[in-house]
Amino acid sequence: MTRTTIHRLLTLALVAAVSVSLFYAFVLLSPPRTWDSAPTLIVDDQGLDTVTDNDGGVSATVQAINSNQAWNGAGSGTVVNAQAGSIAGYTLGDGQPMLAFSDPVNACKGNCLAATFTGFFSDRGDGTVRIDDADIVTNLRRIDWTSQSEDPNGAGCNSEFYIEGVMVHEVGHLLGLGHTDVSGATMFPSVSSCNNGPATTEQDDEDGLNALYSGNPPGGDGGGACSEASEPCKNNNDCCPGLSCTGRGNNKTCA
Amino acid sequence: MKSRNVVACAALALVLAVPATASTFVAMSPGEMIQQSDAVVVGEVLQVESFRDPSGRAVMTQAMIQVEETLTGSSPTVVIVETFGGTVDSYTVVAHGFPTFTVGERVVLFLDEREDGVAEVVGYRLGQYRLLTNRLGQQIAVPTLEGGVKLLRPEGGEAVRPQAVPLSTLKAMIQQEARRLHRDF
Repeated sequence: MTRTTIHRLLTLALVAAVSVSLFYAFVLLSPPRTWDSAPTLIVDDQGLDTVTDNDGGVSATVQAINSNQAWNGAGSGTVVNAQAGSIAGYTLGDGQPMLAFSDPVNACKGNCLAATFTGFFSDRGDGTVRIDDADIVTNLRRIDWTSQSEDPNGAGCNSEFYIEGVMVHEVGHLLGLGHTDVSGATMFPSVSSCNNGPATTEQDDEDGLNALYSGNPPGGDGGGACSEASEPCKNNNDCCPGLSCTGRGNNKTCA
Repeated sequence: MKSRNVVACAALALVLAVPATASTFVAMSPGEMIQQSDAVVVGEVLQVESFRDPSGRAVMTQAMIQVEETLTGSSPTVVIVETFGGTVDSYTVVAHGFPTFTVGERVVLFLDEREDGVAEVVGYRLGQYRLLTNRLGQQIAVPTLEGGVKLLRPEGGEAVRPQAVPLSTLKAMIQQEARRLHRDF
């Protein structure tokens, strides 16, 4: 094998490695877009008929979205505040994010199951744009839904989809994330029935969120404070920009 | 490394970095698409205009299409096609996964005409192809479905996505399917 051939093979291997690293990672919506402050998301208090817990999955959805097991615990502080309420005033681009268990604007019909709209003015000048509204409409009559209250951890679940996992996924879009190719992550674009795994964010999801919000927590509550050099950490998300979490076990520090 | 390889690598990186979007659709077969369409046309986008709908609750866009060829069904020579999203007074609403239009582009559209005469694209972006010309001068129909749109099979799991094909191939497929369905063309 000649030196030229080896060089070409090494180059191809490098390109392949870079390509794989690009492909198997979180994806941000383009152009990158973020909220200036943590949005208050109104979750349709009418709920879903097919969820037979106390309120049609409304409380389950709100709790899942606000949970520290999801986006608010990803390392950038409180990034979203969900609360149940009326969606009677549902309007795209009005600055009031809403999650509808229906389709108030008649946009999602036929083969559409869920549609997300993001609204923003032109860019901030640094290549990013400021989201000031995002609304989700759904066409959910074609699917049978459940919740953790109805079927805890899959018990009793029969070909149903967990509303918590799907809506935590949709809120990822609302925050500016696209789909990932990391199987098992919340932002993976497919989920099987009776699997509520997407309600809990994974490392790839957290990396994506922190790429958008780290150092600039939308909530401004300090929850996104990062660790400086030599301070303890669990993973790279805990470290301030430019630092990596190194070490093993309980002895990891930012460096 | 030759410059040609550098360009290829850059193109690869760009392909892998396509923007993701955030809506979910059920896949439709060509037969289902044609059955739900009043017409399938090839045309050019003459004009695009965005506005708030009369209720004020949504930002819409209407595109005026000059129909060059009707592949199946019947269509006027100029069609108004409506979709969600657009920019009004410098404020943009992105309707992820919905068709978008640019003046001057040529498209293939599966159209469903409403009672008011305005048409909608059947299957959202499944019913829209952009026409590009390759180096050989061949017209290629490129699906507008973005990489990040979730496309599910009706029975569950992810669906096979439409691929770019020569326009002649797409026309033949549409006309063959229309013939099978006893549709006029």
